[in-house]
Amino acid sequence: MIRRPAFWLWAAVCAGGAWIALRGMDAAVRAFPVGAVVGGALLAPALAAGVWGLRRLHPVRSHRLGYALIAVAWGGLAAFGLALPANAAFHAVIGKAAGPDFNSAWGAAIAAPVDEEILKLLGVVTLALMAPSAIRGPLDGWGYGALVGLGFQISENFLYVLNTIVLTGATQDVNAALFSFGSRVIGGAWWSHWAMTAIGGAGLGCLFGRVSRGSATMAAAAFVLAMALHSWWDAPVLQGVVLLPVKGAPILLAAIVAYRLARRRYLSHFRRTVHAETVRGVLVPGEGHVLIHRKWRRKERWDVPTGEPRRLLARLRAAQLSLIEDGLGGLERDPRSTVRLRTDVHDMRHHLNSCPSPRRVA
Amino acid sequence: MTRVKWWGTGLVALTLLVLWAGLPLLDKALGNGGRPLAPGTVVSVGTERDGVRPITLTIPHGGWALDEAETSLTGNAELTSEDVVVNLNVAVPLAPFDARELWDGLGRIVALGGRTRLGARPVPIVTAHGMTGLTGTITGRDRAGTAAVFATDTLGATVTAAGPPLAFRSLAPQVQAMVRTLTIAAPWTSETGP
Repeated sequence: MIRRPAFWLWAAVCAGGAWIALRGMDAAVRAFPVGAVVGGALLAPALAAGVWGLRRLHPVRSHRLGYALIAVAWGGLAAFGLALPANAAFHAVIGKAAGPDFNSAWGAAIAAPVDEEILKLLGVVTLALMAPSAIRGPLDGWGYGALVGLGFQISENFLYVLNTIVLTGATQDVNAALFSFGSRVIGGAWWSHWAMTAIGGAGLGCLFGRVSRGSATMAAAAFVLAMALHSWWDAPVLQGVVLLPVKGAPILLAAIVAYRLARRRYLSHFRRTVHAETVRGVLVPGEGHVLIHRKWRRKERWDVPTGEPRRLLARLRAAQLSLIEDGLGGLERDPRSTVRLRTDVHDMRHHLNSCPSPRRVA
Repeated sequence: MTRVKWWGTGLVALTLLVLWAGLPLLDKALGNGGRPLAPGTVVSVGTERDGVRPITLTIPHGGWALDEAETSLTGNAELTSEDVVVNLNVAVPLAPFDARELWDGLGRIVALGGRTRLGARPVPIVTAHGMTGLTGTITGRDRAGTAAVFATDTLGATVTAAGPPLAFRSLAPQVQAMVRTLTIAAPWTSETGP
């Protein structure tokens, strides 16, 4: 991965974003240490839970932790850091062009969707350029998009902790941190950045899976929908705490619908490929049922002696899943990889069956 | 097989550059964004309810401008004249506070910039509408100024004014007059004295 230019772009932009964010928040963190610590302590478990949950939403195998962390880092450092000057400049442009009244009402609904959705989605693009096998379809795009959005959301929530302290006149730091966490995480996390970027990411996943006019249209439509939902959230309509669920519901609903469609497409491909590879003799009948469930894959290992046989079984299953997912597509897909994976599956099965006291996997 | 290794990365880098540098350049090209305010203009800040923002300040003299780039009327307004900058900010308490607490909090906020500090001994100030607050000095290297805070049970307002010592000294009477015009409208008003 480090040989690819996208990796170095990712590293440089994350470092640059972190520097901008640190420079912007450093003084406030020093001035309000208790509030900042309380905010950080509340947000850290939320981030961990979010990463765990979003990775687990993949129906067959969790998104790889390394790729998930790359996505979160882009959202939380690169996209967030660069959004600070971009948003400030965009707001200033709107203020100068349309006046402060318009800016205070509509500025966020215009600037944030453009800047932030583009910056976040570039994280999904960068990940696909760094690791083309990471994003092979809308489900991968949805998952990594959601993780980029989550990273952004957590950093933004930390900034809001500091902003809330300032908004309360720096008179109630801990209360401000708790209030900010309650309103933005407990009350508002359900329809926030993760959901919008997941929708845009699902569209990009379609495009990266198979480049065609249809998938390009789908990617553009998903991107516009993500921006429209972001704009809807920031628009000065349905304001007030009681109405927030009403305002957030379309965003959450759109993310759920995008997920269900992406999941259905993935599972349908999965079943189709399992059938084809079973007919071809690469998979044995019934193996697809084990492959599709995490629980069954875990349970079958109990019947295999520890050590080399168990490791071989895990590698066999991983190779089989890679073979199934290989057909989904992806950027820079190697056309020889299917044949190579079939050979790997055959060799590993042979080795596993020739282990002493083996469990027959055929 | 689509080869995107180099041009794809280049495209991402270009987009990042446009957002990171392009927007600030456009902002710069549009100028300083100061809108001149006529004497008697009322500047209102705070969340709008029924078309009214709760905190107002009246511009008593000419020569002041509203910095549209630095102003977000839901939270603050920035006024400039010569090199003196006046910031009117809204403070929303989560529990009732008084002017002394707000003064201490403002001290921490002013110190954030690292260039100025708030004086430790504020004195009471009464506005033209009879609202009592606290006022004191702002000091810093090559900076002089004044600050004032006003607190009600449900809303507070802070005003800071600072600039180069000479410029500030010549505008100090105007700033004092401006601060005395501050109002916090009902239903937010339920004054808590200093």
